Amino acid sequence: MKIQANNLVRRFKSYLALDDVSLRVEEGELLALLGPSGSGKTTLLRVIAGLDYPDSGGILFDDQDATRLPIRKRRVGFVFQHYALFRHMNVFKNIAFGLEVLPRRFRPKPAEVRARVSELLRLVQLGGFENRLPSELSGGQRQRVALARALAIEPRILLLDEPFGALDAMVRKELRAWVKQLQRQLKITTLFVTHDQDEALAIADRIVIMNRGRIEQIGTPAEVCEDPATDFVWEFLQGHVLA
Amino acid sequence: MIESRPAPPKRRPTVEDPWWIKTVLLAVAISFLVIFLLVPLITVFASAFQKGLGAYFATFSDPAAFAAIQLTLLVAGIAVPANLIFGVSAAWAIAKFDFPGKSLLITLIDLPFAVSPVVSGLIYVLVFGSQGWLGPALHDYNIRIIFAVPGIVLATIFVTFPFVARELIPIMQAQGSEEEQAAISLGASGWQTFWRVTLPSVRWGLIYGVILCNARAMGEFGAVSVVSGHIRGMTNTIPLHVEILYNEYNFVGAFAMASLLACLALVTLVIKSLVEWRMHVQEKSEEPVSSA
Repeated sequence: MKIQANNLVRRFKSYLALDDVSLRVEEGELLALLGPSGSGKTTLLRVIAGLDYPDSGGILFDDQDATRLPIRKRRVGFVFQHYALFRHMNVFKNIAFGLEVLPRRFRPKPAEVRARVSELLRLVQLGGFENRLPSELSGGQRQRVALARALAIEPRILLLDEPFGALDAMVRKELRAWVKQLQRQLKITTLFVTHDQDEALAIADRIVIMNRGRIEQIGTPAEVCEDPATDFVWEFLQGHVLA
Repeated sequence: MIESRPAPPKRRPTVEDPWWIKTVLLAVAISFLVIFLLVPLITVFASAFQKGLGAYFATFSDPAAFAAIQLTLLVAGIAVPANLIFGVSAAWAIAKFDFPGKSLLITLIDLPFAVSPVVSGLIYVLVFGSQGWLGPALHDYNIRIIFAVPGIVLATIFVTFPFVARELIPIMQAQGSEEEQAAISLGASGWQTFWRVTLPSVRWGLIYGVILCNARAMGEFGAVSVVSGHIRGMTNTIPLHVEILYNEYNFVGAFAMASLLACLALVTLVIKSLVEWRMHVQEKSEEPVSSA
């Protein structure tokens, strides 16, 4: 699915989190929202998800106006920074959640749910983990369960908030390569938020560099590295090279 | 390299306390427990059974005693669910939303802990009593609140309403609202999110609050005493009936009734420690989820 954001403005009490932000995300692309903390990247992601609403401006999903569409009708897969797994449910129940809250006439039969969950667990390489509780998993495993849970509702887009932020360096590199490969395989439009330049340069098709609620530059990793549009971009990417 | 490192020395307290400090502290604590808790508890049961099992059970065959037990169960049966609903709503509102007057609401929830129960009862007499604000109007419609069951229920609800809310607010605040956001993003309605995500994740805290609330609801004396009117067989709860029997020098009866409340306290304590243990286990297993 394509996403188009037009002139988004979001004001919090003391500051402007989004200051006239416009953006096009193409079908099937992996886009990084990169910037220092407080740059508005997470707000942009949450507005696209429907977890927050813009004060003005609009969002189009394909050609449909989604600005006021409630989150539960958007069919977006959102992965939280700290995973937000349901702590009292095992892995199976977590992943099946999105299917089991469907209205009865759309809800798949228990056997279909089981088949779908084990297929997703295979996809995230956690086959056989159905009965574990989130507390019995490592950070990387939790992250993959959260991803499987988001994918269970067959989302139109995937939104990841600092997906690797809480993991140690080794797991992080491994997981980001794997996410990139998974995204290629599923061909699902994906946005992820990061403050880590190397991460964005390593896996994104295009990078949106944000600062103080504004977009400084949008481009491929090569473009932003070789031809920084502003002083901020130049400074922010200084010392980081294309992987 | 790591394997060859010597094992760290066993941790020992930096200051070695003399043995007698520990002994004295322990002795003080234990003698308090014995004098103020154990001896009275034994006395209750000893006095209740002093004339044998027959006299003990004869107490409960008195219709007034039976009515008191019934009334206590009825009052707790109304007050506890009412405070369950109130406590969950208040805790949810306070923990998950921001609104003006939030700290005032938190203070108000604590009010029954700060006010003497007798005063709490008196408030209802002043409002609903025959000389009170609403008394004459209620009298015209033939509705009796003071010196009747509704007054007892109201006073009990007032006295017990902090228990559930107090227990839930810190738990819900610590958990934040990310899981709810995740549930909604997965297509759950507000109702589904509440029943499937919010409520199950606080269930042990909720049970804890409910049993404490129940113990207090059944045992409340002061507030209920003011509004009840002590009509035998009509508006006497167990604690009030204990007082009446005692004042009539029916010590076996009084202590037999009191033994019911003592048993309730013991059962509450057992459930309370079971739930505390469960909460502790759960907290320990959940720590990494929130901090990872």
